[in-house]
Amino acid sequence: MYEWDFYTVAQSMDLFLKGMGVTFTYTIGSILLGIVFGLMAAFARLSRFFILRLIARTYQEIFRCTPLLVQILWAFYALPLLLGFTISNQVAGLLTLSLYVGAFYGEIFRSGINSIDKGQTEAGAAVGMSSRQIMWNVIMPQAVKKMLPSFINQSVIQLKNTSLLYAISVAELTYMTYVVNGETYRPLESYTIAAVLYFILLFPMTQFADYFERRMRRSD
Amino acid sequence: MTDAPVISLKGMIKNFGELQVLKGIDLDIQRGEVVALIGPSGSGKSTLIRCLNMMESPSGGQFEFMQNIIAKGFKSKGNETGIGELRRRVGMVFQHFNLFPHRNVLQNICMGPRIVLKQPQAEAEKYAKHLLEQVGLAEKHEAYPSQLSGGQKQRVAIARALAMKPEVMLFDEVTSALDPELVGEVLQVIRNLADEGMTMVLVTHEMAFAADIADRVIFLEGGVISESGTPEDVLVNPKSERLQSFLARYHG
Repeated sequence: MYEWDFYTVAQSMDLFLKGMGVTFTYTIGSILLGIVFGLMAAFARLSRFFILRLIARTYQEIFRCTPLLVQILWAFYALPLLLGFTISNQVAGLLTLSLYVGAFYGEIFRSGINSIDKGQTEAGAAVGMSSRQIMWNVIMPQAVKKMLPSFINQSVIQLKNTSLLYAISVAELTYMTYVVNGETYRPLESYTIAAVLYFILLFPMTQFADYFERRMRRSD
Repeated sequence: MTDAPVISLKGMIKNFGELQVLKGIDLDIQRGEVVALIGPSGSGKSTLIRCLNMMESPSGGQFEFMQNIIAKGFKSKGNETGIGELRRRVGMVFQHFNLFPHRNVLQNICMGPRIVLKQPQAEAEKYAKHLLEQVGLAEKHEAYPSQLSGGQKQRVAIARALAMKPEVMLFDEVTSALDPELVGEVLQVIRNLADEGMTMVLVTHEMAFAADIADRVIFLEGGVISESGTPEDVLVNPKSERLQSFLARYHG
């Protein structure tokens, strides 16, 4: 019978909490940057210029069709060889995570925008709005509603994906757990605590998504 | 008085890929005139009316609005400013209303004046309420489109177009998506506009209404104007066999 001993591991609670903070920071940071990349990708995909569509499509497919772990390792270990200078693990980690989630956000934004009936664009145009005015006053407010569930879903995945940064020694929650385990030799307790902490971070987010979706449905 | 026409088309052509939908339309519309476009489906009447506010850009011919050339020849993509200006002065109402579902009735009507004409909120709202009264929906200004009947939606859509104080109104089969008992209330609003002297073009299947309200009825077929004249000429004494059989289907 296994003898649980959370006491030893709990001695390192400060490391867990620090890791949690770092995980949270990378999640928020990469989501915000990812929104920027995602919007650029979505608008490029909807552009009438072939070259913009091609660039955006290429970006999205590269990041969607290769594993995030490989991307992170590549950015940190391989990219500097091409650039001729090193990149800190924080920068490599944040950029890769942002580009990765941006590729998926781009797809969410694009399909959200496309899902709005063409009649809406025409109604805006019929009163003399420019395409930009139509986009921000007519299409986007409606599209955001439709995008939100998939957006939150992707963001939940994003928080979990930050755990891959342990591979380049970014001191986020999984890496910290690895450290604690190394000190205490208590893998069961260490990784259980890590799992619980991830759950505590994410459960409110999925609950909020449900709540928001219900509220949105009512306002339709 | 011989004013220059508000809208003037010369040999207007519209192609969708290989398909030529409009095959050279010549049409002058005078200020205050009410023109009804009738014709079988696929005759190009919807495409024609949609060209009048550049919802479709013509593939050839010439399109003048108030003697300004909007589109000429094949370089008719037009610049956005010119098209924006045209659309500010030419209102359009659609078959499927196309109200903004995320905005209430008042906001739907104020959106154009607020965003395009940069009118102050208070001014836009005051006029919007006045328009809602005109279309008989004064009490509905806080409702959302989903809470309205089809007829009410269409009347809001008309008010939304009127909020821009247009000089011409285009009605593209505005009663076709309505339950029969709701058609009357929308037609009444259009009739009032005609009485006030609004220049209007309507695509319609309501022959009795066209006969009653229009100064001129145009029968389109296969992308050309095949008959044109007063309602009496076109609807009562049709010349061509095609028009006779077209009309027979409506008179039963």
